[in-house]
Amino acid sequence: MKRYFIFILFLGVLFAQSTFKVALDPNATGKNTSNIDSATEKALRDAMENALVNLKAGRKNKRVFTVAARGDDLKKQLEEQNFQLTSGCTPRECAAEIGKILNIDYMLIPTMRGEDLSERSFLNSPAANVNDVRKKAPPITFTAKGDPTPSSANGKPSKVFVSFKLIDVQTGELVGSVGDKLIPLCNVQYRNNLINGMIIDLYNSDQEELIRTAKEVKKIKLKPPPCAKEILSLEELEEEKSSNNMLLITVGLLLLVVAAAGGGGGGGGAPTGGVDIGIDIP
Amino acid sequence: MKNFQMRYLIISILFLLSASYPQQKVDSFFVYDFDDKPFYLSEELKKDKPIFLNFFATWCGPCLKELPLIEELKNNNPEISFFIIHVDNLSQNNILLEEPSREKVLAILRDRSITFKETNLLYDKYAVIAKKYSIKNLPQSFLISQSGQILSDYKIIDSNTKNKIQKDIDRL
Repeated sequence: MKRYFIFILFLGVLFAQSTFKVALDPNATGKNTSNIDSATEKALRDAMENALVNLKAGRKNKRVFTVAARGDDLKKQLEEQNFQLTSGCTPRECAAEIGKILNIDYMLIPTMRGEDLSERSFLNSPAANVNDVRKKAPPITFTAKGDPTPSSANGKPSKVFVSFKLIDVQTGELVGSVGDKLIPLCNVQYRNNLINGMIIDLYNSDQEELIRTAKEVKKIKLKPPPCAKEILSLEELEEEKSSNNMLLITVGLLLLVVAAAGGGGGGGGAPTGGVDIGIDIP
Repeated sequence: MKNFQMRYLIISILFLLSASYPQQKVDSFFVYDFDDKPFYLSEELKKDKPIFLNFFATWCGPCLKELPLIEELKNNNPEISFFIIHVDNLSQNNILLEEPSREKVLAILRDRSITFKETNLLYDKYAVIAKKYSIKNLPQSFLISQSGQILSDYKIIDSNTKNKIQKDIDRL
């Protein structure tokens, strides 16, 4: 009987999948946030931490991560160790150094880039006047219809670009990364769903199976709410516009080259309207 | 008269010297215990109890050998907080000395009838604390006063050292 008990205990230990301790600090390795207010940053951090904790994998649907320290606890733990970062460390080295001090397995470094609330959208907008500029009032962004977006009207961004890097604290190696993803902030549920999806992508991208002990985790995708749809379509429009601009520039340059070649071939005849760009055609 | 003055002078110098070399203040640290709860030394010191810290690893024979003596000391001195710090990933001659899983470490301790609570077993995962305490060889132990001063440190604990530790504790 005792033998069976020991055997069962051994099997339990053998198949026990321990959760990995992870910490998340966007600014631990330098300023990784831009154009974003502290409230939005905190809300996104919370969403990321929840997504990490809620990531479950394997047949038993076990948690993959536990978030070791959040906000003030993280600060307290670093202070307790009288922590000072080695000067001149690379972001990965810095992350590993901090991770060792925190006794964690992995360090998640998010980058949060708020929309570029440049003066272009503000000063050229019909809502802006001289007094607003003097007061340095918060910039406003506009929807496709020309109305100020609800969340950007109060100085908060209406969308952010988020990316993740997961660093192995022991080795300082990059375990996985997820690139710039546009997250509309107008709907909390949709925002959290996109962040959950990014964490799942991060898990699935681990080819060396350091954290991924099971098959790929499937994502549950929510339909974008109307406000998010608008932001996403605006982004697509901008992308289309910039790619159209690139196409126009290329075509223009080609036309110039052709025109110049035609002008040169005239053998000193009447000007053809082409610009001489110094190409000699034999 | 001259002799008396000389003696007075020497005593004064000795007194000044002892005052200018205070005992070393312990470095605070943070680790997780075996129950996965965060442990802060500064918070432990607030309990106003002296602390005994023992650094140990499973590959270190003398560490395993001295554990029953530490257990005895712990049982005889309930007014002292005893902690065993399990050091992982210590490197020696550029070789990383990795430790087995937490469950296996616990099993090794239980095999030696060590009855430390999981909250008194601390896990120095990256040997950060061992480095902080300038530990070159294991085992090593420290007796810390309630005010956070390192009173003594001990290398290998045998029965003689155990008696010395008991005397040091009695003097507290």
